[in-house]
Amino acid sequence: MIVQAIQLFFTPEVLIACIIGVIGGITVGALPGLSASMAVALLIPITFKMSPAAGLVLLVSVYTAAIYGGSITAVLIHTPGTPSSAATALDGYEMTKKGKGLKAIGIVTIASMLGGTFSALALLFIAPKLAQISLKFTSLEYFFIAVFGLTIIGSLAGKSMVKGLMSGMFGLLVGCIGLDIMNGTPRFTMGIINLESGISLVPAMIGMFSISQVLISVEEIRKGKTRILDEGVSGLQGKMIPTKAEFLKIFPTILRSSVIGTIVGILPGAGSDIGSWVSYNNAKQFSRTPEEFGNGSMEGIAAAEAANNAVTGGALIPLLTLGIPGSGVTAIMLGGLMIKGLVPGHKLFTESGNITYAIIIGFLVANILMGIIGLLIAKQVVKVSVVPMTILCPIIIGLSTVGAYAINNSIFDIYIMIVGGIIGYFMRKIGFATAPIILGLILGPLAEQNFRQSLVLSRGNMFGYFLSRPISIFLAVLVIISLFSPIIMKTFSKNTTESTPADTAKI
Amino acid sequence: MSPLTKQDLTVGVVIYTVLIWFFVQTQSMLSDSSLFPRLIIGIFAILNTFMIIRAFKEKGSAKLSIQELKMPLLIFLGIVVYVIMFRFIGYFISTAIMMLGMMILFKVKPFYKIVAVILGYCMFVYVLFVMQLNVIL
Repeated sequence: MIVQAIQLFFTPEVLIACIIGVIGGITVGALPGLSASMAVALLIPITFKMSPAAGLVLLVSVYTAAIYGGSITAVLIHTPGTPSSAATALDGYEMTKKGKGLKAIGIVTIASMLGGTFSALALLFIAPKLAQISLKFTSLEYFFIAVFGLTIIGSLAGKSMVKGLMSGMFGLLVGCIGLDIMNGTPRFTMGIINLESGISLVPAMIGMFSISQVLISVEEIRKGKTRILDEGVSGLQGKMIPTKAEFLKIFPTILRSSVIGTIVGILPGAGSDIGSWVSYNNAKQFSRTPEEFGNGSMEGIAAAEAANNAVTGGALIPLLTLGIPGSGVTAIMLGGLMIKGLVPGHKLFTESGNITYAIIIGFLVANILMGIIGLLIAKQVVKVSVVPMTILCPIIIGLSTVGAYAINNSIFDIYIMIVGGIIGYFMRKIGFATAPIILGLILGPLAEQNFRQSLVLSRGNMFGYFLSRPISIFLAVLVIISLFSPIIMKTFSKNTTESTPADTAKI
Repeated sequence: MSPLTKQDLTVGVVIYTVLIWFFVQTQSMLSDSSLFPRLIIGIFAILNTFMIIRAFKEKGSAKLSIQELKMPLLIFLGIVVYVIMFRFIGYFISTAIMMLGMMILFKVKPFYKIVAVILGYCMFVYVLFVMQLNVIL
């Protein structure tokens, strides 16, 4: 069956679909506001006239390439193309400012390719077994997953932990705006109908990252600085491909993040955005140089990128084996499968096995192709960082506006972008990190919905219900470890530092 | 009292005001619906109190000056006007006006460079968004 699938993949129609999907995905992903889900949704009608294998290979190629493409603008102009690239923007843009944009793009490309390839192999070999685990998850487990995600705020807090936590709380509170998910009561909508569906994540994110960045750049233009690059940096420095030492430093992070990303992808409801933040936090905790995170850390970029692309393969596992979409994009893709007459489950791997394995092989090849194309175009795209900010700023405003508008063809989304922009600007000026707000917005509704569902399921005995679920206990322990690990790590490193001089003295 | 402490105090007072508004709003909600927001408001208020206490003990974030904020706020006002124009005269004309105005303000020279950037940008957006993605602009 695998041989038949390989033969099917290498037919001209499927192969061309894969190449177009990768190039199109990178382009769409790089544009602020155009997310992977939007690209896939727009392409579904185009796949109607294509064969099932070609159509679905096109969709999976666009999916993974769009996630990668979103990181290019995140690194170069601090404008994440997709929500999953927000974590990459933190360190990637810092590297660009130091004239190391080329290297940052190189790391983004390699980490994305390896993360995506890892998840494709997981999809190919261990899909059915892994999918079994997610079947055992109930709302209580999802609540703990969301809380686990929220513990990351600590590592995104910046200089002040209190202010970082306050940013997270603000995100959670803003996430409450809209109709109550359980009983339809309007909350904090002030009678505005457009607010009933809640605050749209992408316009809010574009505002907080891109518009606030434009306003910060304007200050610098006023001071006479007209380029993204820092003072004293004459041009683009360094090589794109990391050195052997650099690669060895980031490889364990890539590997760990690929595993995390794949697992997060398998869990329904948790997408690439959550995967990248969880891995970023994990990489910071394991890093020997955590102080570099947020200041241009290669490990930070590698972690976020390997994970967000690994999520794509992970999300396809429950989709293909159980028909459970692991993210918004795969939910749209489920529609694509149905249109082609393919029903997820056991039969997909037996009766339609050649098509299914051709899709999986297509996904694997798309990830490798994405890396190759990315490395080929990196030297050209990185030149953005030497374009004067006086030209970039109006372009970013124009792109952000069209990006925010294009999601729902809604002017209201642009208003959200503007409000997000001015809030983000002032927050950055007074020392509040903006990334926790986005995390709160993403995880808030997930946490609340599952918490309230768990309350209903527990029938008044929440503690007893919790104790009856071993996976919940395990996840709760993970949450506690995540909360206290910075203190434990700090104490451990302090002890190590104190013991080292003594040991040296003995020698 | 240092200006930095004063700044965090002002921020703290603004946050309290916002939280009170949010809390008052929860009064008119069903008890189930108000549970989670109230929990968040409570934690937020505690953290805000911590921030205010710390503001007295240590010097916090950077001090804001009106001079520094003048230009960004002017640009922000420009963005608001641009969005209003977008609503009435469409994306392309409003974007061309916004880009032209901004680049003149930033003293981009020569003029043909400004025209080339605007034309190139508008063509790119038209081909991708209007022709390929069928977005009505």
